[in-house]
Amino acid sequence: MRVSDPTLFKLAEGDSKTKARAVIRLKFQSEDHLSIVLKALKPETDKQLTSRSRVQIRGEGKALTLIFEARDTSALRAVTNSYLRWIALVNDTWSVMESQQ
Amino acid sequence: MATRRKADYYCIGLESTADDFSVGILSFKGKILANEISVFMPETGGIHPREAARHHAEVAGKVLAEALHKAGIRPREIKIIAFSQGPGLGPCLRTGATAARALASYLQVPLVGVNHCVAHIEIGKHITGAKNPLTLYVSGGNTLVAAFEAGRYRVFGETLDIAVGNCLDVFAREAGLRQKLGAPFGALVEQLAARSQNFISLPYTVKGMDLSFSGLLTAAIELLHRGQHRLEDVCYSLQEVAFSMLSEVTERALAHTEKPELLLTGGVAANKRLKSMLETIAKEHNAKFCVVPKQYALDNGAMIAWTGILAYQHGLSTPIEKSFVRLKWRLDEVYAPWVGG
Repeated sequence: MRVSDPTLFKLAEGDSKTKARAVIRLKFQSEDHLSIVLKALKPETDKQLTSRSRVQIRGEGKALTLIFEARDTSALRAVTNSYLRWIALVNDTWSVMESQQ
Repeated sequence: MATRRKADYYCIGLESTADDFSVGILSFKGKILANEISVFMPETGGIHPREAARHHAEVAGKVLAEALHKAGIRPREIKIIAFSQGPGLGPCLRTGATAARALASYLQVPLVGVNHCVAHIEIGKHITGAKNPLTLYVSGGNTLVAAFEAGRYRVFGETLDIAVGNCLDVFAREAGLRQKLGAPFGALVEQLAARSQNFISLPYTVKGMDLSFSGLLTAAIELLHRGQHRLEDVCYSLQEVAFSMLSEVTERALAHTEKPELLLTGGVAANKRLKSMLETIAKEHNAKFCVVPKQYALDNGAMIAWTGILAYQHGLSTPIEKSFVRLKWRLDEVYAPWVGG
């Protein structure tokens, strides 16, 4: 993806142990939808269970930015997959609840 | 769809500590409206946490939709969301927690983190009518004897290594048995054990009030691989030793606590031989023997929802921003103000 915000580069610089990085930006239908994704994921980024990787998350307008940093590409792939899967899970939950209204 | 009375509140409970993803919906009055479960069943080997978590994420929307349909309630009627906060497998817990946070945020209702072990006891009490039991909780992930004493659930005895359900599962896999939906490994071992009465001596390890199953498992597998005994005989001996160990510890706890009821729960509670051994013990100590029915003894969302309701009604809730999962959250660390006595 193209990163237009220069502060993202700063965040993605990481520490000396960081060997792999990825930045993913996703756009949602509405700010409400994004707000729910943020609330669902934020505790996971606040208390990360492994030292092999770390994740920063931020929302702006309807866009979600995830910055992944890891000690190796295996860890990067694992953490990226986890977060993308959780985002898909939140979307599924959102769709189910919307269909029930 | 379930029939229900008007003007009641509802709780959605999400369970995701290990291989099951389940959504339960209960009314605050305790009526179970839905208890949908999707089981992760690997082709080979045990539960890989990452693969189980992937299963949970994939089925969550479907299971939730089925539960809501079965319960016949509207989202605005839901008062709280409860989720299994621990103990359990990290990736699985985090997947359930993420779904629970999303639901609570969407509905703008409180979130309640629930201890999985406490939930097993509370749904057991709710279903069987037990008021103040000594509980033997036996599953693939947990083996413990607990009761409520001095303001908290206390662990009177527990496994020092693997759970009894794990012992039976690993043995069954080593024996080449294949589990199916509705016929887990434990049931296969039980079926084979029922065809034998030839007891072979195996290590019996009770240390004080605690138990150890890993040596028993290793010895049973070695016995099997030696090829000198029928599989039925090894299954029978394994069950007899493992369940005798559980019975000894349970009986001692029952004698010490003098509880009026003995509650048996967890996946292994379905085993007829274990039930008969414990029933005898309960009878000898004048305790009422209560067995939790299978659908509520296995990991399920209904138990999480019910415990969430009890906690919420006593002023407990979990702020979303602090709803971290607790992988090793012990039963005796739980503040349970809803339990009397």
